[in-house]
Amino acid sequence: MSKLVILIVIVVAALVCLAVPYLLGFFKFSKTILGSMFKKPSTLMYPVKPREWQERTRGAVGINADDCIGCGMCARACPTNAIEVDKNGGEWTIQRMQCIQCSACVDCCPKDCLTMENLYTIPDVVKVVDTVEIPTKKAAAAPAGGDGDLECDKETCVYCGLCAKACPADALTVDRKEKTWEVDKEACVKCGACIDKCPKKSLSFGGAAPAAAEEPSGDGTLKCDLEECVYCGLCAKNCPAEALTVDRKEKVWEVDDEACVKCGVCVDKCPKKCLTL
Amino acid sequence: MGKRTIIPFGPQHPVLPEPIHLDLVLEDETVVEAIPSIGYIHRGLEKLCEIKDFNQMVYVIERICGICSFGHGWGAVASMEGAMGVQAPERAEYLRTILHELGRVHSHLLWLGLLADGFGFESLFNHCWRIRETVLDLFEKNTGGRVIFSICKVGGMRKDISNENLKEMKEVLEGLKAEIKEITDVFINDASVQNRMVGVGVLTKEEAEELCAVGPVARASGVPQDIRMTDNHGVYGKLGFEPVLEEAGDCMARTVVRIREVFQSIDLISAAIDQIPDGPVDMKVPNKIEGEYITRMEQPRGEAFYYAKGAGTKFLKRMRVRTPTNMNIPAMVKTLAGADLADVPMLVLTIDPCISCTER
Amino acid sequence: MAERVFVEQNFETVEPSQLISKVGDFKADGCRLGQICGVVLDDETYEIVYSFDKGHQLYNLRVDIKIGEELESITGIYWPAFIYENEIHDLFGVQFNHSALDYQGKFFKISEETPWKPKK
Repeated sequence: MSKLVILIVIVVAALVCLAVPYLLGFFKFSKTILGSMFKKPSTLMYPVKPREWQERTRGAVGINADDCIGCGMCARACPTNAIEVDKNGGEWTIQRMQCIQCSACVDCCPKDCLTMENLYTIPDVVKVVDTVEIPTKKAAAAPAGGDGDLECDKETCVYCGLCAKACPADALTVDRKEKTWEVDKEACVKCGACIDKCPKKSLSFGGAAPAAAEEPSGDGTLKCDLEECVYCGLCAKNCPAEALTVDRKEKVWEVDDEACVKCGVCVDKCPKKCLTL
Repeated sequence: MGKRTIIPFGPQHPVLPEPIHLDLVLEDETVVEAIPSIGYIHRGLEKLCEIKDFNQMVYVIERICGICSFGHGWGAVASMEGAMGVQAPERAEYLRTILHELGRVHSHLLWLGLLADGFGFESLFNHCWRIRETVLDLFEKNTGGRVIFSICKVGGMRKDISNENLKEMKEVLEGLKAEIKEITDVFINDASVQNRMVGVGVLTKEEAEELCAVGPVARASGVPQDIRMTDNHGVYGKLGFEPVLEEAGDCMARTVVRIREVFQSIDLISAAIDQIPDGPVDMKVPNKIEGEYITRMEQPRGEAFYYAKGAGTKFLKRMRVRTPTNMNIPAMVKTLAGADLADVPMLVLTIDPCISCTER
Repeated sequence: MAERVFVEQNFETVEPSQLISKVGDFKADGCRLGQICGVVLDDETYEIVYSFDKGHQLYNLRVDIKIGEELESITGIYWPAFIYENEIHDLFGVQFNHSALDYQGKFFKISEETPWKPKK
């Protein structure tokens, strides 16, 4: 009898000795599991506790309708054709479910009236279409009056190319050497960005008389009163033709007369009023 | 010699959220031959790219894959930059490298979770995805998107990431290392996991070379093939990158390669954050594309091809994306021959298939 | 450890008849097949680009064919090419002869007619 008990004990002990290392191989994860029994859940009690949005989270496109000029740049930039702009009808429409939140429209808006909001579009059983009323052409006072095609007064134009640089639609071609100024009427969105930028105020939307630019006094070459000059470099920074060189350390101010278009931007920008044309 | 049976696998199968169909020719319980077929979700994205201008196209291409989306965006952008002959600013290249490696961490953690789910280890799956959530939060904070980032553009990046945010990213990732180690030790040491993976689906080095395998599949068989070793791809040369290699070529080796790559990626991100120079992240680019250019990227799943052929306008004549899974399907089919029916899900999973990418 | 490589854009145009021997040379050289890509050049011409990789360096072969012309399959040399050849057959309508694994146009299950010609 006792021999049998001893035999059973030996067999059980041998089994345990064999099984323990084997079983230990299986329970590599038990520590983590036991640990997480006493931790707070990693999930959020949504929607009782709302999620925190990051500043950059791209949720849905918002619009500040008052500033919108209906140029349609956003509709053209949209990779999914989710935006439609009806300039004459005064409507800006977005297919919320078609929008992919790439924010290409926000980047290209010349008036910065589009924004990327944090909150996502709320799920729905139908395709959500949002329509926003935007000011129509008549209500909005165009910067230079008139509502025709963009025109340039070739007499005052200095072909500086600032308008082409400002154009969000790449509709303008300016060649300073050849003295040409061309507008692609198909591409022009009539946003007026070029009119704001033009140093000679020679741009306008058809018909309306352009605001007369002040005739620069003097003999026409740019001069700097070096006694007043602080060599801040503001003139060089703002020069559309990159005709100015200013070195603050060396106290150098130079103008390339060939390159200078005599637009007068530097004269306006100079904090010491030491530049004259 | 048993009777031959044909068993259809997929396109809907519990282990795979993606539609691949395999006709498995069985002899008793052993697979003799597998015939793959795809094409259930062809979206025509390559063709769509031809009617979008090159700025819009990046947002389309990113949507080829929801997991390696940054890599796809970067690849397309790099091929177009190559065709234009421009080089993005250095800070932009660093940021791209950092985000690409962060994408690799997120992709491999997701895959480890799917693998655990594949062999029925539900709690391990949940823990992998819990850690991945932290990485997604980092993405959201820095780029604005959780899976689709839309931050890459031709000529650089759309937004800069501040040095404070980068420093914080480094701290978070270094802190994650311990948590990831706790989880990945289970994959390497647990006996039940080992029973399913060690010695299963061996792909020898010769076979991997013969079948043109790419990415972790090739590296698990000892083929030192990693596009991060080329100098056209990011700033890896400055970070002291060396490919991760394993010799065994079985399912376990493919898992271990990916686990080691998670830690390697975190180290690469830390090194890049230490080195990143200040400067602009964007530059002006020409508004038309001429010529052609091929770029390759090392995606989490392996080598991907991007071929851009310009037409001299804002539109491209052809944008070709060849994704890594495309090249790994032949390797998968060959390893399936001779495997047990019960091991088929494991073998399909360990090449990390991304069928939606493959069909675009 | 592997050397760092700067990848050049090596493009070489070959005649369709030379293709098989050229690809055979790459195989003998120990190259790996990278990809095959179909490009619609105009209404009459297709261009097929074959890419090969050896030690991270890239070699590309370009083959121009007219619509209706047939190409010889390279699946006899590189078996994994079957994916690309079937894809190009299904999406562009190029016929590859003597393929080791021909899906007869059933590889991609798409409802639109191919080759697809979207309007700009």
